[in-house]
Amino acid sequence: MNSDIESLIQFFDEIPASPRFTRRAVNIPGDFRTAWRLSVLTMLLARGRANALAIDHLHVLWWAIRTPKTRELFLRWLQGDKGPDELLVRFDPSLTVTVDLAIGEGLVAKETSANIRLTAAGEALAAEAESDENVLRVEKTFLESLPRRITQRQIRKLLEWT
Amino acid sequence: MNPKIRLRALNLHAETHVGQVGRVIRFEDGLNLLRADNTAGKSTALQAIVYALGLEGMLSPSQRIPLAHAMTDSVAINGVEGRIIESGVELELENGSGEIITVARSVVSLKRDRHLITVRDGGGLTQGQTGDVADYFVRRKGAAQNLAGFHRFLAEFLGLDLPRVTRMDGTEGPLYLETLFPYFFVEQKHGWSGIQARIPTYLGIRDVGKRSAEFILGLDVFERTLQRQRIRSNMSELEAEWRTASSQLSESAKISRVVIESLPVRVQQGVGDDDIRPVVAVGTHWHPIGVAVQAMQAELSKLVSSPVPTAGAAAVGVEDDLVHLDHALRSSLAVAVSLAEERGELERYQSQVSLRLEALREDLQRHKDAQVLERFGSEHARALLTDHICPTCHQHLEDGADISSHAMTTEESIDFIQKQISTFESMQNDHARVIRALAIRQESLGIQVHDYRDGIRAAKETLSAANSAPSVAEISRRLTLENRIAELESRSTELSVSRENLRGISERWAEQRSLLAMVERDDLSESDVAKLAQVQSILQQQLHEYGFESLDPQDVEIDKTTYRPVHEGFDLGFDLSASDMIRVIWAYLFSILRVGQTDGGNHLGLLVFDEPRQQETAHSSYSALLAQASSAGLGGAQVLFATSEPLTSLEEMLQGHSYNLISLAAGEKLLQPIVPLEESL
Repeated sequence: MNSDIESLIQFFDEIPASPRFTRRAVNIPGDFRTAWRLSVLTMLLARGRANALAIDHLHVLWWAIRTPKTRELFLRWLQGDKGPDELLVRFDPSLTVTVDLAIGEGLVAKETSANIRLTAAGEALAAEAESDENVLRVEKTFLESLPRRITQRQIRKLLEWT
Repeated sequence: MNPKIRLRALNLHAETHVGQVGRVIRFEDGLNLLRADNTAGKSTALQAIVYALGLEGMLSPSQRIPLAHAMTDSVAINGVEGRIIESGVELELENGSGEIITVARSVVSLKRDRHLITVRDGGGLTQGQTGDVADYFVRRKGAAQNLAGFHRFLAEFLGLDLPRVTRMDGTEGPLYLETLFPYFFVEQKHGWSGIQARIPTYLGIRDVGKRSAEFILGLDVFERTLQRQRIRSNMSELEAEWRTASSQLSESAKISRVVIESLPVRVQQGVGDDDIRPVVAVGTHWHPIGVAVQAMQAELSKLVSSPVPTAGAAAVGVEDDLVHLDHALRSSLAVAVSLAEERGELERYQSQVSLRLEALREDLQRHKDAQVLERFGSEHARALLTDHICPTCHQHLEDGADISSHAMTTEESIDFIQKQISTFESMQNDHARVIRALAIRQESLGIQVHDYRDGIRAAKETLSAANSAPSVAEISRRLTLENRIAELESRSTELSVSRENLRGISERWAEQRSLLAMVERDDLSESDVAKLAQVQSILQQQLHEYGFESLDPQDVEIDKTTYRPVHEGFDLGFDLSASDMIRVIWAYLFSILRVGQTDGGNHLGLLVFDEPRQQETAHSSYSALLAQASSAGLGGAQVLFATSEPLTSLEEMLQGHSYNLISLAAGEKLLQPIVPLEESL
């Protein structure tokens, strides 16, 4: 290990050119794009009663919508096909950040400590994302296949593993 | 030459809680002027024409109604603001063969969908007569192609044979009316900002500006482009046919354990005399099918020529055979096991790659969605989506800041993921190819094992039979040989038919390719060159008449590839004064009008200018423009101007010209209260 570094130092000492390092941007998953996050957040809230959802409810949906596997698990769970050993809802810090940003941008508002509600601007964004059939196809298909109402009790049950 | 369209009358109407407003405007042939003070509703009237024809898509992809709030929201009636309950527009128009229709579209309505346009036969506005009524839809997918689509109807009514053009994704679609109208209608907001009115690109047509200009001017090069596209699609059909035929050939060969040597993979390679050679394994060597059949026949006739030996006589040879067969069977089985393992492993890889690809494709879609969503959201969350500024702390905040301080931009990510996808796809293809090859080997090995077992069984039977009995091994060998010869003979005929078929396809493909080479040239035909020269000379002459000053009008040329006015090869624009810019737009659109109405051209014979004197162009230029617009040299074209020029000055400029002037008094609004019939009685 040490000799590696030494030989590198020696190498750079010997060559006439000086090395220059450029920082390369890294690829991030698509669901970390702000546009995706804000749009999906508003679309999720738009499905809640009176455009609002409890934060734990939101966490569950946020977790579910992001991968094919979680979408399938969640739908199966809702249909009563429960395998608690494979169903592990992860509380994703990216949701907290997204909600914070959306509050700052005036798209959503904290109603009570545990409730998030869409503002008029948020509603408009959700409607716009909803209106173009070419975007968020997978996400929309998933949302459409959910039952009209998911009760708070169901959510609690899911989170409490019973 | 008859213009393809003539606007006859326009009706705007709105109903509110406090009463009704509306106005009917009649248009004549030639020059029409709609004169009114600013904010009286001139632009609304012109936009209503666009809206009535369902063409607002030429302005923007948004589904918003492009009309002023006096039509969509509320309007003042006798000083009282009234909220609009119901409003709509009607337009009466005539086509080149003198047929008249009236189209109606709702703006605000609880009863009528905005995507419906009602078409009545006859002049509903000027003659009060109406014939058949039909509804068409507009601004929805299929409006330009379905029978019930309004733009399909309109194009037919106007006698426009809208061609199919290549779309960005390589498929074909119609050239939409929305992409032609920027040559006929200059709207106030964006129309004057560039020399070429903006042609909507969101419709996904490749080279949309060029295609529209070529269609309107009726250039031969357009036809040639279309022909090229047609030939290309023929070629891709032949390619698909080739793929099917060649995979059928391999399949049918495989059934008889025949391998096709030097099978051309692509139609481009053609079928040479030495190509597509079916070969069969005889013992350990591969022979062409004909040679193999001959060899087998020779062996068979040798066997047949002598009587079947008895088991006793054959015993020594059969014992040797048995040892040999037993050994061969064992080694084949060992190979089969290792092949199965190899294949299993490859299939596991394959499914992993598929999973990875699925995930990558979903991720790619998310990035692409993000691009579109950014556009949507920029109105509602500008700071975050367009400016990348944190709304709370006002610091720079890039996408994905919670996981990386240095993330790629959306475009970079899309590019990056696409590259990954293509890598994984070629891995997938490689695996699939190897798996296919393994499967063939497994199959032929299976048949071989079966043959060995038959042989062993026959040998054992011979060895255990009475010495005087005929040798079962010998008989079995004869029968096997006979069957195999018969099978290969029939397969051989079948394969040569397929071979001829493939050869035919590749020849037809080569014909199309040479046709393509003939129309490949992009250059303009003689008549095209003449037409563009005419556009150029009319343009120069008009620039001269309008008092164009920034450059010598003779130096302004029409570019042969973009069909736009250029100066020394550069687009005009940067070096022009605002008023000269307007002069170029006038001159350009008039020259397109003049040439587009001549033979083969598809100009509608209509020009609509919203506030052509917006930039305070010199008085003399303006009057030259009006003279141009009213002159008989337009081939009967109709020109519509909306202007706020004072009445006296207008009349002065128009002296000696024929025109139709609709002038609103000072302070008069376009939408006037309508007294309901019963009240006026």
